[in-house]
Amino acid sequence: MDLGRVLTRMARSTLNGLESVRLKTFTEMPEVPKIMARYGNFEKLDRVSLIAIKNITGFDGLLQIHYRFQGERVHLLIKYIDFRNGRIFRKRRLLQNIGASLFQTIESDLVEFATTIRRSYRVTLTIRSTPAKSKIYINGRYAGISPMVKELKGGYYTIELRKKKYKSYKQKFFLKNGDRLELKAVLYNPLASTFLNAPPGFRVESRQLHFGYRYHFMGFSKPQIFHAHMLNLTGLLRIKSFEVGFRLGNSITIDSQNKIDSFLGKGEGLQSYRFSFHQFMAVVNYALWEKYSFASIHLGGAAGFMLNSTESGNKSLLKWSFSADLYAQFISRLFRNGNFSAELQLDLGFAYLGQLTYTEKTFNIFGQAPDVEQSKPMFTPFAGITLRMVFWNDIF
Amino acid sequence: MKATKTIILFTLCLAIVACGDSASFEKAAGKFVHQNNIFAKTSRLTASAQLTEVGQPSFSWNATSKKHVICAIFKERIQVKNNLITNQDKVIWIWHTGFGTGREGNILFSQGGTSTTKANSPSPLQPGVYYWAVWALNAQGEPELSSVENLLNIPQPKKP
Repeated sequence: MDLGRVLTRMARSTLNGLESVRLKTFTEMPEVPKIMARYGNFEKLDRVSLIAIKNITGFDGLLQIHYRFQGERVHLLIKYIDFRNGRIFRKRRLLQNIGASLFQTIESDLVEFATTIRRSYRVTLTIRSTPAKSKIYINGRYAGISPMVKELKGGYYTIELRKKKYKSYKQKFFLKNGDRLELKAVLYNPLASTFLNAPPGFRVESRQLHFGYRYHFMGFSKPQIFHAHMLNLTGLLRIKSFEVGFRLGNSITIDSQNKIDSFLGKGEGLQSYRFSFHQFMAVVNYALWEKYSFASIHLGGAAGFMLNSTESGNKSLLKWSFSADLYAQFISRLFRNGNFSAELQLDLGFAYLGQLTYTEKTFNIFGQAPDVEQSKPMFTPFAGITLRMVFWNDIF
Repeated sequence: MKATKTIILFTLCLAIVACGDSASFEKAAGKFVHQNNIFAKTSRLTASAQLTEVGQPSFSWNATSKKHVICAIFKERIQVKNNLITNQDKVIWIWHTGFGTGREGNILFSQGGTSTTKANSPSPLQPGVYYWAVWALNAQGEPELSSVENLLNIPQPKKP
């Protein structure tokens, strides 16, 4: 078996299949072996000498294959000499049976060798983007979708990335052959870029989402409501030392039973209530003291509307009223991961929850007496605990 | 034969009405009159009156076990608006569980009174036509059970 011929044929088909790579054998260029013979063993040559061979012969690389059979197996030595870059690219020794595994190893080496030499003639461009799948235009021509790896000739290039709803990324480069450019482009969405491009004082430093619980001490004996428990969802934007946004609050339903006088005597009757409160508030907080972003104390206030729903017997009342609160917040960071941080917040404050509207029944021996509508203001101290999810902007 | 057919027709009518609401028929002046409970959307309390002594009827109904039960006699027909009796001034006798007299479900005339505050040994009723009803209120003061408006005829005492 003429292994040399088989390997030559395999190398020809592999390398000629690559873009801009051609394999020539000594039989096609008989003068080249004589020139090379003058230099002797290539492994002992320095970088300059190897590059000189490339300049004389015009060859960028050389494959030297030595083999001998040892029984069933073949002992193979392949030297990959890179004249273009003046170095021995690889020496591969193999001792194994002739089979697919052997040819696969050689083929893989050949492709790597040829590609490495080719890259020294080209610019290798690697483009990634946030968000991914952005359209890439090179010198105004569509080139593909990110992430992308592309080889180009040296020169001036304008690289542009576009994606719907995002601000385009555009940059000019001068690239020389052999350069490798790894481009990481960040495309901002218009809303974010509006804020990010705003003057420093008005930049949004973070977007926040809070999940909170508040305990309100009511202390009412009529109707009997001692406590109220509110669950809050707050969305805030941090601008300089201020946080502004909205808060939605919902109370846990409050069931109350109140004794009323009847013709049997005092407190012989009973009136049942079911109350619930819904708050829609605008919120402003001010960072009074901050230790980096680990701990802080904020003072804040909120104002808005409260919807009071009262059910008593088969009657129900819905009333809107003004509502406001003032508080201090003590915040400590739980953890931070990249641009996200989770924080724990404790609140102490005083709230005007609005007007509590309810009906008061009176007993009439001759049937159902008309209900009397009553209302009273709800001034309550409160304490709360909140989990803050903070999404910081990239530029910070 | 014709009369029999009419009765059957009314019997069918009764069956249909009874499905939707509590109702009964009272034979008055030779005609059937549809009678509702005195308070709307309340369960029926079936009550009866019996004249044991002259001018002193006694009343009975299935005991309700409610805290607030009232029985009253009116001089004229009972007027109700928004589940509240409006002609309260026409009450000439009343009993309720607050008096602490008698037993709810079985009341003698002497156990009631003429005012809503206490039982006060009322004088016997004069001969004539009166109207009476029983009702019970829930803890919130809303009517829960009530009877129909019943007729009470006190006859002239028999001459010896």
